[in-house]
Amino acid sequence: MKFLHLADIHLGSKLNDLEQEKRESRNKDIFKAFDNAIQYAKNNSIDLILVSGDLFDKDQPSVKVRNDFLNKVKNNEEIFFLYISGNHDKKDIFSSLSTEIPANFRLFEEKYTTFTHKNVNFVGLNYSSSMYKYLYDSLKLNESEINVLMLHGEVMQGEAKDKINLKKLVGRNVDYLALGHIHQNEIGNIDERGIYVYPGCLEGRGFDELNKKGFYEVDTDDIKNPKFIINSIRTIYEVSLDISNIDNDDKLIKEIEKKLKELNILEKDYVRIILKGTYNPDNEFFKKDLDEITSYFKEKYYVFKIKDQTTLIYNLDKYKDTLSLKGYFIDSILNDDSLSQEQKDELIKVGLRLIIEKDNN
Amino acid sequence: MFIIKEINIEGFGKFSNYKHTFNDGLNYFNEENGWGKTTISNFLYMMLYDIANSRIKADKDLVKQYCPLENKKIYKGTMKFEFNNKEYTIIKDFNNKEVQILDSNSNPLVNDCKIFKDFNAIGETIFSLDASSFKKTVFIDNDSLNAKYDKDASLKTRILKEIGSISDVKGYENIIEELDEKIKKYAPTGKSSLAKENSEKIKELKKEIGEQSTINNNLFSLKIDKTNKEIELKNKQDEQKDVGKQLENANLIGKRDAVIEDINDRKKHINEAQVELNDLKKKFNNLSIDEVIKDLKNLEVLVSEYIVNQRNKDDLEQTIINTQEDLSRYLNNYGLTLNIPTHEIYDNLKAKINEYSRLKNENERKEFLIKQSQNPLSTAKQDNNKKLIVIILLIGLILVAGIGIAIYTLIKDYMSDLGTIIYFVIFGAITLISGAIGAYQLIKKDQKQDEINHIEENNQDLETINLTSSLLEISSIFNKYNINITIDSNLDEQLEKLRKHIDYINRRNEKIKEDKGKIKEYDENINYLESELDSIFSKYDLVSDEYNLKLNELRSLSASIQNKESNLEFDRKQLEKKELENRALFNKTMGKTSLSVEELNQKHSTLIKEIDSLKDDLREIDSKIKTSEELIDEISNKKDELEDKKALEEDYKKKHAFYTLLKSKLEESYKSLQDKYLSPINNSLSNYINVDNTLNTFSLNKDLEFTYSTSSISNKIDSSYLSNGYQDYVNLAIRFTILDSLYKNEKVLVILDDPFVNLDKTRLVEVKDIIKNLSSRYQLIYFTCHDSRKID
Repeated sequence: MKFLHLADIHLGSKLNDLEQEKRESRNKDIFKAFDNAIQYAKNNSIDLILVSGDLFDKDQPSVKVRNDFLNKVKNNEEIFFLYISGNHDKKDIFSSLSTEIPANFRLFEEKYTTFTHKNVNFVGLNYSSSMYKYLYDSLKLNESEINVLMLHGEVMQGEAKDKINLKKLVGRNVDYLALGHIHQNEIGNIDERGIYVYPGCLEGRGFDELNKKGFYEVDTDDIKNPKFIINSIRTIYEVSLDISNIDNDDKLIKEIEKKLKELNILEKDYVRIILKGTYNPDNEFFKKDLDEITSYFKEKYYVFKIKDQTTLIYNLDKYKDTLSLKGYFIDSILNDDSLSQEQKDELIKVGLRLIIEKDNN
Repeated sequence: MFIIKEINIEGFGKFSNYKHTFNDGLNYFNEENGWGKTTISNFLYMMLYDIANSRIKADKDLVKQYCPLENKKIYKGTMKFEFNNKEYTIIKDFNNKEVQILDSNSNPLVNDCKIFKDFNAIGETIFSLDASSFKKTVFIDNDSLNAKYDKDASLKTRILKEIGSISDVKGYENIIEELDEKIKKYAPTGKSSLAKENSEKIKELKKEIGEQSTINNNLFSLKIDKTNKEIELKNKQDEQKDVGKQLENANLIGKRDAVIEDINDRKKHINEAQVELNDLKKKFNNLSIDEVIKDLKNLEVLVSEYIVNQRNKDDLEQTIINTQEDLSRYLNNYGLTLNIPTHEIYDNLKAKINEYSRLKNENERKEFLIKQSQNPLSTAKQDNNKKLIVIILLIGLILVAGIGIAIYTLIKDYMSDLGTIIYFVIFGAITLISGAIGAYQLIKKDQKQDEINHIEENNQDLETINLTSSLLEISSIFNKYNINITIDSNLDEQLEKLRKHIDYINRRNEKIKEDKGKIKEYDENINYLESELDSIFSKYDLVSDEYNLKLNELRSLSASIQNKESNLEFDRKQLEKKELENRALFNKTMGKTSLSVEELNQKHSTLIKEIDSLKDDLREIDSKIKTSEELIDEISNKKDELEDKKALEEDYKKKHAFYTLLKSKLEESYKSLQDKYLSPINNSLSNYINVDNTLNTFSLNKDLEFTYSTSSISNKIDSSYLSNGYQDYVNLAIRFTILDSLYKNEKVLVILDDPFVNLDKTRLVEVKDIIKNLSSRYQLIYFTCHDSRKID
């Protein structure tokens, strides 16, 4: 039989990185991604979907979000949804709702419980901070059956606080460890018999969740080779650009455009340009706020940001012994031992920009 | 470099034709009041600047003020001067505002000569100062000593710029302004503070979020209410069901009574119907309906046949009558009523006519032959013809032979011996046949001639045939049937007429005979049918006379009986159903209830109202729950917003701290820079001011404002705390300092119009020394009216 493995959907996300007006529509994208996964299951006659935690973004998601989810499950009664809670959502997240839990939605508990479907055992354990104490000892899986274990957490090859120790799962008859928590898809081996799988989050929400997202389609007949299905509605890209040899706005804009074209980034996607390299106050665009350049690209992409990770280089000798505000200013900053290097750089960068900008006006 | 060499006042104030030559150092005018010292200094001023177009009102007054009283027409003067090591003479007429500049060769300069930007205001080129700035710098009098430089940004900048290369300070105020705005924006307090706004929003959100517990409690109560109401509703619904059942039971009992009554009615009706049926059946003598139906079927057929036969017979009888009448009319028409022709008469007559015809034909032929043989022409012609035929025959034979031989000649080479033989055989046959044909024709002609000869011999036979008597006989027969013939009549035609008569008559008679035969048949059928019908009808007690009427009567009776039987059957089935229904109702009813139907209905209505009310309550509670849940969602959103705001608060704090620090660093830098670039000025100032009891430390700031400290006042204060005299002293020093900064290495003019009036002795001595020193660097034109202020 086949099933889909999803995790870290984070319905009802805050999306602080986005402007207020886009947050609602982006949350709709996340819900749509989930709906698309369900449609995929229907179109491929798959009647089981696993959600390995963090279905919601917070332990008190809005009633609407919870109800929307339950209604979606209810309207797809031919599919079973198995759910373990993650570190973001909590186990009794539905208890306060007046809506009934649909019969095709199965919640796990804080002890191992099993749901058997078409001769495959789905064993799940809700996340809790104390789960690591009994995670291994209470795990009992039949050697002659196909066992899918659902957990939410970070895996390690060895002992580590608040991490799932993969070595302790060796020889425990786990065929497929359906994990959640890490937002990037990943597959690894537990032992000769079984694998662990992170499907990653279903839809990227910020610049720490780059590239295409999706879920796994698993065939128990070939359980060690799950198929990753790309499902994300928007993709998040981060592009580095060394601006050491760029000295004006136009060049910078052209370089950015060139990079974006090479990567074939679409209008609906997120883009963040990381400016790297050295940054000279004599550069023309040093005088302007990078916001102007950001504004230029903002119209073309769903989210466009520039992050400045350049290193400011300034030739002190140029300003030394000159009767100039720049020189005196840099001097006063550098001689202030109470400031950290980062503070000094930032002060100099902003201060110099102001002096040069106003001096030119 | 600029020095005045000479002035020549033709008319200016009280001066006319006044000349004065200047040296390049100190030029001292010590004259009494009213002499015209200020006049001279203003003359110089007006020669250097376009006072008439000045924006300064006081300057415009000068033009009027110095217009000569005695000779207004001459209001002009000249000034010879050296500028950048070249000599020039300027001639200005203040009346008509004309100005001319001559070079050292007395050649007038043209306006676009680029030496002087404006001939009317050569001071702007020479000193790089406008009239106003000139008055604050080069021109020193008592009134202008208190000039402030803070509003004169360009002069100030120029002064300061002359001192050092300060390349990036001009935007400093804007930077500080911008930073101040940012600091205000991110400051925790203040009108335009975003941080303050944010902080208030945080308070507001906290308060709103605090209300969540109330909402939660409210929600909890609502859910309890809902549960209670649901239980109450269920109880009421159960009670309603129970009452419903009782009501149903009561209704069932009522219904059963109605059913029983219905059953009785039906039974009565059935009985009555049965009696009616029996009465009807009596008419059938208790025959079964099947038998009746069978009889009916037979009767249908028999009656139908009877009617058909009867009708046919009648029709046929009528036909016979018609035919007879036709025949009678025919005979009357052709006058054949007395003698009706028959076939025998026809045959006889025909034979006679045939004979007559034969004889007639024979006779005609013989006549023809005789005529022909009697024609002499024809005999000779016949001989000639005979000879011609022989000749032609011979020629023909010769030709045929010749043709044969010619053909043979042509084809003999292509023919074998056998072929040749065959050819000649065939050809020979053709020739013989042709000859035989010709001979036959000749023989036949001879035979014909023999016949003619025979007829002539028996001429007497023609006369014995008695055609007329034969004809007469024939004619008399025809006359019997009204057919008249003559010798020319076509006997066949007339015979044909007769034949037609005979045919017609025979046909009519045969028709009549045939029809009569058919009538007999019909009669036989009718008799048979009557007996059959009578036999069947006799079984029934019918009142009708005629067969078809009897049949209808029987049919009607039969239908009626069938209907009644069918209805009776239906009624019996319905009765059965009702009896089943009655039994079912009996089984359903649970016995009598304590309450009547009306009481039960009343109770039921009350319960329905109570249930509806509970449902309304539940709907209301659901709505409130939904509202509460929405509020909780809203609060959840507010919590998110609160977190955002808190993060923003932190951000604002950081930004506030950052910009505050940045501002302080910039101010610090700027002050250091100021101190650094103002030091030449302050150094210069210290050349002109001595530290004494009054002034401990002193300096000029970037606005060229003088501040000082005393021994008792360490914080610097501005010069307004000084006495007037001391202020003048300080201002003079500032002027000299400014001049130094403007004209570092240049020799230019300085006009001093008795500026030391308020100085005390000590200061005066100091200033005099200063003037003496200055005179080596500047061309000083010093006006005073008092010996004490004289400079040696």
